Amino acid sequence: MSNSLQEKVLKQFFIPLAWLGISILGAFLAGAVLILLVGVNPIEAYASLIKGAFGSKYAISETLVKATPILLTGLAVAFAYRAKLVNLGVEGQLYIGAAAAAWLGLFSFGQLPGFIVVLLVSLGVFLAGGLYALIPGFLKAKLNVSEIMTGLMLNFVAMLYVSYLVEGPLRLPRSVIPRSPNIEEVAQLARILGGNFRFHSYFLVGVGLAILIFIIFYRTTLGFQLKIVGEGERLARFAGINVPVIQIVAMVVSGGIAALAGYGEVGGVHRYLLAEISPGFGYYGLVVAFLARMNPLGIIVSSLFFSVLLGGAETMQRTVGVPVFLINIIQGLVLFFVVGLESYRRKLEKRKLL
Amino acid sequence: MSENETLLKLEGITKRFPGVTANEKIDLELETGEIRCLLGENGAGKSTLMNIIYGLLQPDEGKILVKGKEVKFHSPRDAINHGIGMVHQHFMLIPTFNPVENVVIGKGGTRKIMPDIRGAEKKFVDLAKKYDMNLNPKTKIWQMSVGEQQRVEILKALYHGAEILILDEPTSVLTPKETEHLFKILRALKEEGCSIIFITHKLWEATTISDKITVLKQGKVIDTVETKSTDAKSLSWMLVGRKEIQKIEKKGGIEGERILEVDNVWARDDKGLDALKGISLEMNRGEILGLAGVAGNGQRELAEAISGLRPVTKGKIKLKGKEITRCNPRRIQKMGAAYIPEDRIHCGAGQNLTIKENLILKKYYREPFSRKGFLQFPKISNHCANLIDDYNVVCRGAETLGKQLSGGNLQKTILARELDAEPDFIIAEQPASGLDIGAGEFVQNQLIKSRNRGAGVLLISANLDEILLISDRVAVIFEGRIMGVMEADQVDIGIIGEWMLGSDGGKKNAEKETESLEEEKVQ
Repeated sequence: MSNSLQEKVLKQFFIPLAWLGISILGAFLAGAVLILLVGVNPIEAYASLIKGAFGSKYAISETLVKATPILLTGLAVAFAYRAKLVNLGVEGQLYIGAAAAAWLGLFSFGQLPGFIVVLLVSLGVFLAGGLYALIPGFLKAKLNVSEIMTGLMLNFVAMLYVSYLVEGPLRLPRSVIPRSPNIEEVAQLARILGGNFRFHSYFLVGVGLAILIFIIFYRTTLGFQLKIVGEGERLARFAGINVPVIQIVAMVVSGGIAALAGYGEVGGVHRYLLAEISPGFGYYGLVVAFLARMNPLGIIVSSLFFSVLLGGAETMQRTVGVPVFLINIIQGLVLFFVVGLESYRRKLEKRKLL
Repeated sequence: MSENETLLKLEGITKRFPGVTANEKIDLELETGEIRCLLGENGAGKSTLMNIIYGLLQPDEGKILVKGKEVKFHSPRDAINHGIGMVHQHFMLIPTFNPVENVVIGKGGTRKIMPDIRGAEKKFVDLAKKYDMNLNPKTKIWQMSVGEQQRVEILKALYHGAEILILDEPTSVLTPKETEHLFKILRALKEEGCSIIFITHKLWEATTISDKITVLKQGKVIDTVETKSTDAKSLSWMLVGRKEIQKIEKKGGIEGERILEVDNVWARDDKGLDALKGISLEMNRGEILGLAGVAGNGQRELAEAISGLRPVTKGKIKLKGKEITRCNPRRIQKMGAAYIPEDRIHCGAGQNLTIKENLILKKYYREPFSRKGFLQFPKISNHCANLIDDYNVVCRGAETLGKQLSGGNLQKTILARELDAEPDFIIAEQPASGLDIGAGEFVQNQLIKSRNRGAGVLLISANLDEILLISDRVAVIFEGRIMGVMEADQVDIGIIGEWMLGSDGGKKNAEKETESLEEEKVQ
């Protein structure tokens, strides 16, 4: 029994991790060649990258701040993908979540204690994102319209809606850059390392959610139903599962989680809503979810990895003059190596089986 | 064109696959301008033989002669170069291309940078006109009806210079009207000296269109007869006839109450055509009702309609006296119905699910397997270990994935899941197909066991032997209708065979439909 357990842990955890390590190493080696071509010592460049991400308490805080929305949107992607639905609309759901947070956060909450207010706003934000994801979810479940296309297109709608809000109804009068007023203090998320550091409580919420989703996936009937629907619609129908309902649940919960990332940005990082609330965190979320092979706990690791790259990139540009774009290339390379090595690994597996 | 010239000759064609001999020493002679029908049950080896002629498969033994010269086909290209064309059951056309483009890519047009589309189009239109096929060369394939697509396939073969045209069950996708049109085209082709091999399950088609009929059974040629000098009865006897009927000894059935009533049920297939056209059936506890019929006559639709997976457009279904016509699948499962589907890969079991997950597929939500929404793994593991033992599933433990199991073990897993709860009513669709003899017997014994404890078993199979082996009564389905029901100990194979092939009944059905279609148009 323990033997098979060891084998299972090895097979499901360490071997994938080792492959991930190899892919990342490959990506960095390839990146080093590019840095050399720019005329910089790659070791120096990578050192400044690491320093930029971990060099000070402030740097670490900023890295975790960036990790938070990536983690949450990554979890959102993974949740929908459990039923084999690709939620490309996480970026839009994040924007809707941010809008809902700004709107709810401007209400006066009277004497209610902070954590209750935060809970209420979180709930409202979750519902807003869920409703927004209901559009592609419903179209997919009832009319079999591709959730990929509808989700992607709704991203632009959400972004433009937020632009409208901060330039119109929610605009702080006489602000230089269009933005909303600060949300009520009780609705703001706690800055755990103190006021000077932007690291806020939603990172911990993200980690908690990852564990919760892990449990849902592998221990609950809901997770089981999601998996069966993902395995095939005919099989699920045969098993007596109401496929449209499960698909809608998958999308709505996914949208809700993505929307929480918006609250994290408004309530924890900025304290107000602005038009460019996310530089594409949702798309990073997609990448980290695929990197972690949709494992919720793995997404914690992969989102941290991506935030390190993002956080360190600026320092790298400042200190050694490597353009930030190069980090984008390295991110692309990581994905490239992961996907490439994955197919190679499958080939090896097949040969072993034969 | 000289009469009676042998165009194609097969000598002793033998093809073996692991475990089966699909074709055994097949001889066949095809004359110029002849329409030949190949008749046989599923798995008789018709498709294998045609694929050999078309170069998709290579025979293990035997010779193919075209116009008296021995040929060896390594690929369809060789066959096409020798004037052989084939229209598959599933069309090989690119949906987003128009017919002319489809024809050109098949003719090595892709090797040229600028294929002569205009010239091809002219030739195509001329050919279409010649055979009275109404086809617009500019319409994309996906916008065409199935009948039109088939005509494109035929034209494609002709364009490539086919003198021998193989049609693999061409009418299975056509409406009666389109079938008439197809027959007209085939007769015109025959006039031009084209030879046609026509594969079918339907007797009336064979007797209507062909000059000669070759009957295949279990990979062997039973006989070749002139169409003029034969009739439906002797053909069907040739097809299903056998000297003795094997039977498994069973205990006398329990005289049980009515378990299933199907009353004038109509349902559509995936394409939206009527697949069930007024099915009525009655079954009691403690009996196995064998539903015989050539595959694709509405069996799957009937099984799905009863299990709640397919909407019923008309009629009523009652299980244990309660109407279930519009119930969802889970309600019907909870009432004690089990369903062993034919499609083990996509429907019966998940390929990427473990045995454990496959075993609890239909009861994960029930105590003790789950409580308050949480799966109870210790209980599940225990339950699964017992089932794996009881049903003798050979595997490396309950975590083995569905795709790692052999067909027999996958089917045992499905049986374990479906039969463990001792259901009152079981639909078993082709339960032993693709299994080796041992696994097949295991499956049959399990069904008999269920019957003996008082369950009603609806056994759907295209394999008449299997049906006769274990059924108490035999019903035959043809084109969505029940042709008749017989007690198993009074079975007349000749009549069953006629029913299975629709004999003249099929023709009547077709005519009825054509009429009703025309009536609709008038209205």
